Amino acid sequence: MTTALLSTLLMNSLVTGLVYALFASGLTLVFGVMSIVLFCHGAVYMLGSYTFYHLFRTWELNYLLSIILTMAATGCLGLILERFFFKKVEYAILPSLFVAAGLTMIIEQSAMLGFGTLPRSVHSPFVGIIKVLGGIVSVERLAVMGIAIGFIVLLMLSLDHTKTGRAIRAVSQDVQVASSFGINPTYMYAGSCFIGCVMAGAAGALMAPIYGLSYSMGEPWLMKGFMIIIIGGLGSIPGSVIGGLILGVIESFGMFYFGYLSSSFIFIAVMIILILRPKGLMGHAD
Amino acid sequence: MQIKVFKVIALLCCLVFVFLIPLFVTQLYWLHTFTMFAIHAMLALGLWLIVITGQVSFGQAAYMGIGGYASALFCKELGLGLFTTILAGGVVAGLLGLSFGYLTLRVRGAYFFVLSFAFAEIVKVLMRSIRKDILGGPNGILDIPHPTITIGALNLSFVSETGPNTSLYYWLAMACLVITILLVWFITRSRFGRELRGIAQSDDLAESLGINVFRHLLVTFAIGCFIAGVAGAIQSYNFTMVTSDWMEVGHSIDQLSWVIVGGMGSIGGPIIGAFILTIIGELLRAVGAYEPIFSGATLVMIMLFLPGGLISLRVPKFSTLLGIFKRLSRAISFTSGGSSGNRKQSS
Repeated sequence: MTTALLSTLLMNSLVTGLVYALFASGLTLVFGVMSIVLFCHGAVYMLGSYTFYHLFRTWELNYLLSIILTMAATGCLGLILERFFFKKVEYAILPSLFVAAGLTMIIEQSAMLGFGTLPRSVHSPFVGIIKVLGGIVSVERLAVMGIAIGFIVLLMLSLDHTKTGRAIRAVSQDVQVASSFGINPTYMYAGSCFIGCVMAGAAGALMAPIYGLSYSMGEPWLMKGFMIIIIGGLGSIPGSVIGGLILGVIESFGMFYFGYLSSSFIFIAVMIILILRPKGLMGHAD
Repeated sequence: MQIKVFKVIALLCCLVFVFLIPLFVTQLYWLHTFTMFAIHAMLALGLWLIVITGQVSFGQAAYMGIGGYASALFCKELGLGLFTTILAGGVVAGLLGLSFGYLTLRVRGAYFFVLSFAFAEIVKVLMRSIRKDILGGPNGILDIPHPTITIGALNLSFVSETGPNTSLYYWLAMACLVITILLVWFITRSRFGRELRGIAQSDDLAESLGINVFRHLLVTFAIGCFIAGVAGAIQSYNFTMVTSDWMEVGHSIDQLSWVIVGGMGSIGGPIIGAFILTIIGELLRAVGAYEPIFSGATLVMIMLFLPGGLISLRVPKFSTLLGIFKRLSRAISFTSGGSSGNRKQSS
């Protein structure tokens, strides 16, 4: 095996891994704060991709502007989800799971009827390739990687250094103590749902030029997101970054060397990690 | 005492009625749908047994598929009889559940939920990619022969000249469903079942009372997987095939939704949920591509407006109905009188 091949595989796994991390950080944030499994995260990702497609290709807006508008749109969807669905079932884990599963069915089928079954593609504004250590990487993927890193760092910084971010973290640690300090948990639930869906929308917009669009693109991502947050520990954003990178590496290298069988490797990794460390790599024992 | 006797007689009448259905339902389509309901109800009951301990399994479809694969292999490769293979399918699924549970039942809540899902995916991928000569790869095992059973002098064949004998499959599935209901009912009524409910409320409390929580969870999980395996084995005979598509996530969601929509409060919940959703699913075939939208909306509506499931709907007593009717009629006469008076004044 040559260095060129190794470097190509590694760069590819880094790109997909970081976008996985972006997607899963929303999932893990929502789980940490509201302790519900956001089962419609994959559908939100799919809607994000289609929104980006229409903004960027049909309306021909600027690339970055399209991404930001997509994020705003999916964020509003997150607010609607929180206000009209999860709040109604009082954030109980199983009912919210089923509400979200039902919504996923509705959204995916409506997307199939509305957007059609044919897969679509968007052209990236970035063209050309660069050679890194002999391996070939497209500029497009490097740009996606940079944007994904930017969003993750922005999320972490805002959770650590803004007042709202600290309040969200307080609610995720202990709702009752946080509300005794004058934090309204309802606003923080809405906020975390907003941020979670923004992250899914960003991942969808970033991945649209690379993987293309189809109405059923969300489901595998949802499953991968579950695996990532379990590896990293539920509720931990650094954990989801690590989990995303692990998944990216396992996927690229496994698919290259073992083919279809490799899609079970991530599950085996999850089982091993959970048996050794039941709370995930970065999870807290509670 | 009298009420008890009455209840038992009513239940027996229901049972006789259920078993007589093939004599007057002549449409094979609906008979097949009822067979599917029996299989679905068994799956829902097995899952319900696991869920009442507080562990939500998201991978029951895998155990069902394994039961189907095992019985198909025993039937085709070893040539064993119907009941042996069904039991063997259940046992294989139960053993798989036992080994998975032994590794993972110490974690609870969302972790177990996701782990059970991960395991189901591993099983699915393995079934698709290993030993393609026996397991058939993505196609699965096809052409499982229709069985023939001998009870005393009676020789029953599950296939006739015109096609598979749907009534016999219906009776087989219903008989297994009745046995499953009795099994689950005895488990929940026993001391063991009461201890399970205690575990669901608090692990630590149950442990302090001398209950071996892990062992209880393990036994329950294995029984639930056994039931799923038996259901899968029956379905594999009924469809004369078994594929790894049975282990898709959608089927695990279906099984959970039968339990949730029916309600977890009592044993009737999963059965009612399986019945209603199976029938609705068949009726919704008329709307074609809109079917997932309707079933998704059903799920959302029931979760939002009927959180206890369908079982929490109580049939009101006759006296309350009478009272409501009286009040309603009074209100109607009052409003109609009032409005007619208003109309006169305004004109």
